[in-house]
Amino acid sequence: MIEVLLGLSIFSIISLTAYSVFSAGIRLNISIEKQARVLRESRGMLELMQGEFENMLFYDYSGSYKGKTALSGTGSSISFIKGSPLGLKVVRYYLGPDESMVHQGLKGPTASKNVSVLLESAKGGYRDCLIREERGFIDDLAGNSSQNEVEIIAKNIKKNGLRFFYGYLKGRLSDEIKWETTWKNDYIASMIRVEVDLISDHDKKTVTLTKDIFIPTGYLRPIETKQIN
Amino acid sequence: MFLNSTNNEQGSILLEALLSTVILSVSITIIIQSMISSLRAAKYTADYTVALILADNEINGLRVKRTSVCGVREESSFNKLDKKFICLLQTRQFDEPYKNGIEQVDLGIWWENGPKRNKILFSSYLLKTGHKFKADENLQ
Repeated sequence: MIEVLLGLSIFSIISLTAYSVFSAGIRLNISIEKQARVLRESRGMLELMQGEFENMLFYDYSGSYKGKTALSGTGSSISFIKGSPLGLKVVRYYLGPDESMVHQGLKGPTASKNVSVLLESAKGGYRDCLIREERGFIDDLAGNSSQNEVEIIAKNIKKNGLRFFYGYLKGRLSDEIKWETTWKNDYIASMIRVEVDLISDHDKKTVTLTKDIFIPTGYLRPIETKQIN
Repeated sequence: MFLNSTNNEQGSILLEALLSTVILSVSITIIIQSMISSLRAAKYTADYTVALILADNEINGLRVKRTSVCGVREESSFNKLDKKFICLLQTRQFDEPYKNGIEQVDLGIWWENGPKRNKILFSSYLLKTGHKFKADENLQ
């Protein structure tokens, strides 16, 4: 009897230890996989933006569309022209809410019957999506948005976690770069900084990545250069 | 030989229990060590990605100025969350074939992950400050 009890207790200890070790391993694997997915997505997103920014084109609108510029941007969105086999395209990057996730606040069972009470329901929540919108050059001039091609590039971005900065020279005699959050000049910027706050599904930890993109066809000039209104 | 069979059987149970505990603890230690090393690898991958982005930013910072100054050796750390990364930038004259106009830029990013010190190194080539190609001179 004692031997059986001892055997059972040893067996249960061994089983419990083995189970906890392997379950910890599985949890670790899931956590690492989620972290790696966020990093993969962020690198893909930054490389896509870098490739497109480096190849952006200049177009002189001053003759017919005053106020329009080839590159225009704010702190949270950017719009520029790129070439494609089908002609010129206008590309825009911006953040949008993640419509695929619905966050609901539920109050648990409070009566004898298991009834849940919906307190609030909101789409999006703590995350935003990076959206890439592409439209033909003619459609852009005509203000026609029916032919827009919209795609989601990244999903693991913290709410309002994407910022664009545009490089200006600090002064005429300086070679230091000053970063501003708007661009409305009649030339292309030489440096664009992309700052993104990534959020992991697993631990809700935020990682900020900053990427400086050099545009060979752009110009680095002081901020006092006349801006298009 | 002097022990009777009953004593032998009693001792064997304890011995088996001890042996199984030792085997279990050794195997669990190995599994936990492999988990820790996979965690370290994941951390290294994340740091490596950040280091690559930082190195790319430094190179782009040089490219935007279009030229560099020869013989410069700079060591700097990054701000905000990237404090653990250290950047070392060194420029020197490039020997062949355009020794008067081009210089080599060596860029290294260092960071520490536990006791280990990691690094990535890059080399690029830039025009010297104030250098003009013959074609530019002819245009003027």
